[in-house]
Amino acid sequence: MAEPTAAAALDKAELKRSARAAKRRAFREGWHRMCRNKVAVTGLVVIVLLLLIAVFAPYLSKYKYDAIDPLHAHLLPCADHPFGTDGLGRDLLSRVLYGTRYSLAIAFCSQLVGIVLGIFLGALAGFFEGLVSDLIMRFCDIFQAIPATLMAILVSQTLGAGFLSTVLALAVTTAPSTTRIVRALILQIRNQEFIEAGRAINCSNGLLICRHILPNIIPQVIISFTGGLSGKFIESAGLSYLGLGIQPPTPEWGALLTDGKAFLRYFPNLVIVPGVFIMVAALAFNLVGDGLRDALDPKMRD
Amino acid sequence: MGRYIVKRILWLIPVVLGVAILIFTIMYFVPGDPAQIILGASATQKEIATLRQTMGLNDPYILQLGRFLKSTFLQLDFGSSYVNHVPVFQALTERFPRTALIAIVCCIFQIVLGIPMGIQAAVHQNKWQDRTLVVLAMVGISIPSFWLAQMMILLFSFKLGWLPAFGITSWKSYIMPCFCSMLMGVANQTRFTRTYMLEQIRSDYVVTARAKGLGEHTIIYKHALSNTLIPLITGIGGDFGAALGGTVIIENVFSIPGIGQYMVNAIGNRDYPVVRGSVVFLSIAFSIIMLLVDLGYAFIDPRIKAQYIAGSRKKAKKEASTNG
Amino acid sequence: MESENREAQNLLEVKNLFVEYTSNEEVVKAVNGVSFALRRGETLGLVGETGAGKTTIAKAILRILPDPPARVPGGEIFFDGADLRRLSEKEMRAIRGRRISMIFQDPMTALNPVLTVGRQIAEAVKVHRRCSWAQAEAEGRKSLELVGIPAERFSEYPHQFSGGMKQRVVIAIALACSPDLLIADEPTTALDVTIQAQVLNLIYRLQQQNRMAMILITHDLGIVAETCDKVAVVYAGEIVEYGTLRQIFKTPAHPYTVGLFGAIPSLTGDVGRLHNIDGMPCDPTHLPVGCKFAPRCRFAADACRQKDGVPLRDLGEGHLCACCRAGAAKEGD
Repeated sequence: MAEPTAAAALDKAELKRSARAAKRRAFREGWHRMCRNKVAVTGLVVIVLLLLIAVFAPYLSKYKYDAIDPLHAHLLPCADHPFGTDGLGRDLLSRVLYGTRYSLAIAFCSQLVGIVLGIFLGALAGFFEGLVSDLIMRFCDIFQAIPATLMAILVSQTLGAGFLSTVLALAVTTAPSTTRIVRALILQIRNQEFIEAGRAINCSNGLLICRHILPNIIPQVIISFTGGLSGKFIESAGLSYLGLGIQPPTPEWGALLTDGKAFLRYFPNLVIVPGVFIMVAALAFNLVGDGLRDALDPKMRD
Repeated sequence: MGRYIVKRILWLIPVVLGVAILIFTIMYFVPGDPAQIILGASATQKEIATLRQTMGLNDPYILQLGRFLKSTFLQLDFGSSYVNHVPVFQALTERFPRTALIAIVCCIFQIVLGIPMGIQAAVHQNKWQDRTLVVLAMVGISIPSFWLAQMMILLFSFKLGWLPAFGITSWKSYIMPCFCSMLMGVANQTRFTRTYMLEQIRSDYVVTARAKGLGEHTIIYKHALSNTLIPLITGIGGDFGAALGGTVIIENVFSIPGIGQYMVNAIGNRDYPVVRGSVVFLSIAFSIIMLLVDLGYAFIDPRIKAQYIAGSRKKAKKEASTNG
Repeated sequence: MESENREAQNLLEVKNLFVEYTSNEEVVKAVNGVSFALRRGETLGLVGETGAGKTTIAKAILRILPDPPARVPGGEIFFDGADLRRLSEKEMRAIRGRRISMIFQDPMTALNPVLTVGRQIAEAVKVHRRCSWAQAEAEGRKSLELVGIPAERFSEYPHQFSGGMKQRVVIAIALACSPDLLIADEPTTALDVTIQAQVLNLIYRLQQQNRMAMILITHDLGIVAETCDKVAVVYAGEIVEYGTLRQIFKTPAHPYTVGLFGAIPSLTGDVGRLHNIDGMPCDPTHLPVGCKFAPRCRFAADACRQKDGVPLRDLGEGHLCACCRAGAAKEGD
């Protein structure tokens, strides 16, 4: 009896190894395809740059971002202050660089929370049919009947200004669409034959979910995550502009725009600079998101 | 067909109710005492307490919700502003045309500009037309519209003096707001149209059409486009919602007296009935547009249409078609 | 005399056709020097495994290959005397659907889902004849009847038809203008077995009625036996054996052809095991040097792996075979 099981165990180990090797090859292939896409690589480079700026912000300029200097208020760009100064004499360059931390953090966190929530609800709705699924989908319908910006405004107002409330306000706008996508994916996968095969050999539900279903939704999740990220920069800036979200003196880019909006006519640098940063960040994430989608989604291949 | 229409219209009711309940519930938790806000900082405790009693603010949540739903839907009473006591509904109907105008212009340009550009990009895939349009579209979706608005004011109002920056003085006042609102929508539409068209151009029925000897023009505009329009049309409803949301911020930049400005001022003043009423109003408008889009969609896609043709004809056809 | 001469002339002559697909720096050599000829009213069967290049040959004739990835680096395609490769796109469009038609493998996706069936047939008529829509529709209704679909179903949509009926519609579209040549690319592969016979009979009957030449692409030797006059066996983008139906079926010479026949289970006689062909079809991005079948061939010798490959040899009476050890397969069995 021992011999057949030893042989069987060897086969199983061999299968597992080749399966993992195949998965690694697939990821590497996707990565290579993405690297060939020069535009996406440019976006990636910009993102890495932004991350570096966020980490090393305090060391990148000679002024502290919150150093008030009333004597040098409202300076236009000059040698000392490449982007000028704001109403309180704070160096705009330092503020924008330091603000990278907040802007990146808000975008990532809100998108992450939104996606995770969406996956959780979508998986529930996809896996358990009947009342649970219906309820969740009706909730999504109702949430999505409110235009996203308005929803963000509503939640932000209730929770007040600040980092956490902004993250939640923005996450709530991503969650419903992610729920739908994940649910649709799971329904699709559930009905495929390899799940039937799994059930036939008595796999537990937990194993089915973790080992088979979840890995198949990862590519789509990555695409959704990066795709929606760029919008978060713009939405959070919008909330700040309206007096919600992150407010001055925190140097988040949207807050910087709010700070500068009154001075558009005479000190346009206060408005132009943060806006350009928002645009560049959003563009970089859009390029990477598109590149990822082209690389991971087989349908898009020519 | 009629059954589908009725079914879809009936579906609107629970959604609208759900929306109202959700909005009420979210705002129920807003910090601050409405009575205090109305009476101002100089009010005494007693006055506040009396007003709270009169307004029913001490009643349990369910009662307040019931009262809200009743007054909103049965009496069209969205409450009155805490600040100037003007009925919210009245102000909303007055201001809605301006907001709607911008949103509608957005949608029109999306169709008129976005779709043709997307088709051109798809038809000339990987050539210069495609690359240029894709880059332009990418940039278009990355620019914050309110920032673009400020840049345009800087250039066209302050530096060049061609267009008015604030308020409504003439039809010219709408040019910049509409442009800023529509940019992201047009860019998105270009991208989506391009994606869908590429998918259709690669499909089998296009190969059949080519093998028939049809010209490229017929294939693209008669065959591929009619299939592309289906997902695009469903998208347009959602775009209207996004346009409504975007208009809120744009109105603020340009001080256009629409619902957006009304609402945002109210946020600053903690004038909650205004905020609540505005969001409910706009959400209902959005839901109605989505309903119309869904109905329109059913008219265009013959597969949906056929599902709702009278049962007996369907059965007869089924019998005939199963005979190979 | 004139008409006899026309009969004797070839309707279609493909000479040395090469097709490659370029994608992501890889070059797929799909068709490598294919030549064959077809007379009016004749049926040629193109047989081979999936991926052998048969569909590519067909689409190359009609010039409907997807242009960015596909390229035709060499070859001539003479149809009724004219080299199709030299025609302008406009002249080519006049030929497609009117003189050469094609029907495809998957009927489920071959029709436009948002246009009525009748409209799609009438379109084929209108684009080639100068007539009004009303006349085109009348022709369309006649075509529907010809393929056995009641004319009342003219205004219905594709999703209202079953697979077999959809394929009939596709046939109606292809034959609407009575072409001289019909290319049928695996027309019954996607259909139920019971429907296959009906559709095949229909195609055969219409072909006889209209005196059409036909290229039938298939991997099913049974269908070939019932309908074809000549057979070309395709492997890795090349014709490895070519001859009349009788020659191929009675005296197959190429080891691949023998292998194909050997893989068919027999109703008569006792077969212990099906003889399948060892190995896998070759990777079209890395074709082997010399005879492309050599890696899988039981009879491969050093001569088979020569750089210049193996040319087609005439084994007599027009039976061509690209094997230097032709006959070895038969003996070795």
